[in-house]
Amino acid sequence: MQKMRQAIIIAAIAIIAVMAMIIIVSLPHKSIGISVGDEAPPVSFTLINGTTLNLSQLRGHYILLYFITTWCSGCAAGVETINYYAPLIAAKKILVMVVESYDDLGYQGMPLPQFMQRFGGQPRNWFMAGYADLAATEKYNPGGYPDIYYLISDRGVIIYKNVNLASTFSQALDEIKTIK
Amino acid sequence: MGLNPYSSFNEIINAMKLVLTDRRLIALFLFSIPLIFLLYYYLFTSTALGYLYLGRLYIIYSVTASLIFSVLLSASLVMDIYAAIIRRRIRGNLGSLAATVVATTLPAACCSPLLPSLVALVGGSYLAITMTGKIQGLIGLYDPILIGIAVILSLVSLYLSARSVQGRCESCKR
Repeated sequence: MQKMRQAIIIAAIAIIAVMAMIIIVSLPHKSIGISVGDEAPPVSFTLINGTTLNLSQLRGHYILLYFITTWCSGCAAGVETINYYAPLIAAKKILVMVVESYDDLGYQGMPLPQFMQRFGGQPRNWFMAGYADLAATEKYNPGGYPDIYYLISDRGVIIYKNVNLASTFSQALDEIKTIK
Repeated sequence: MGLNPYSSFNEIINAMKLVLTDRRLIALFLFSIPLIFLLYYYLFTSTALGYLYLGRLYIIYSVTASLIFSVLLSASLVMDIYAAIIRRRIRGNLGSLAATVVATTLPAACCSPLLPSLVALVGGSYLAITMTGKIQGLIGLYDPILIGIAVILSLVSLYLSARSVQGRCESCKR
């Protein structure tokens, strides 16, 4: 009887471990770094074509700022998710900035241009891609998450923040739909 | 001592036939397959496991992996419980079952914020930015290999459980 109890306890622990992993993956991670309501720090990015762009230059536009790593499957799905909602994003005149976190967070995946070509679809003028330096990554992705994204208002204020875009973008869409 | 895949497979089938004579274990087996399947399916699809290689076909990969793990883990579970009911030592088997659960969830750790959160908590932001990719990047790029290893571990766990059910495991004898 004791062994039976032991078996049930260990089986329960195994199931709880899987469920805990699922819950942690599903939890919104909004507490580290800048938050909704904060002003978006005016950091610079190096675009794929080599030019430098400061976020402050985009003031007056809504921006979807998406920090990714190119070794992450969720990031590939995230970029394709943005691509899927391209008509809505374009209609709302939102600029999309897909940014590779500093040094791909220490592990080199696929080169960013190749990644964007494969998952980002046709190049469009509102859909940009570039690289973040350490300072920009520390500001926007201090937790070193494989992907994290922000919706920034035309006044430069963070109005939405979340991780795992492919799974959570439906929540961001509610915010996007309110943009006039 | 080499393992003969055919006789090992037969051993597993015979053990399952023995275990599934108990109605409660049949019910548990049938209940745990869809439950474990749904858990893994959610875990794998929420982290888009395999998307880098397969694109939108990743869903087939997730369904297949979830199905394999749910059947193998459910079978291991009911066999271990059966072995416990007939009072055979099963601690080692349950250890391998627990290790299998960890191994099967590992591939999904690639794109989850869990590991970076822990690293950031312990070592701060700079360490999280420069180090987590070294671990998660490897997991992300080699997830098909990890899934393969997890399947093998699941099979080993199942085989150990089958042997203890039939009383052929030396360490399982009292």
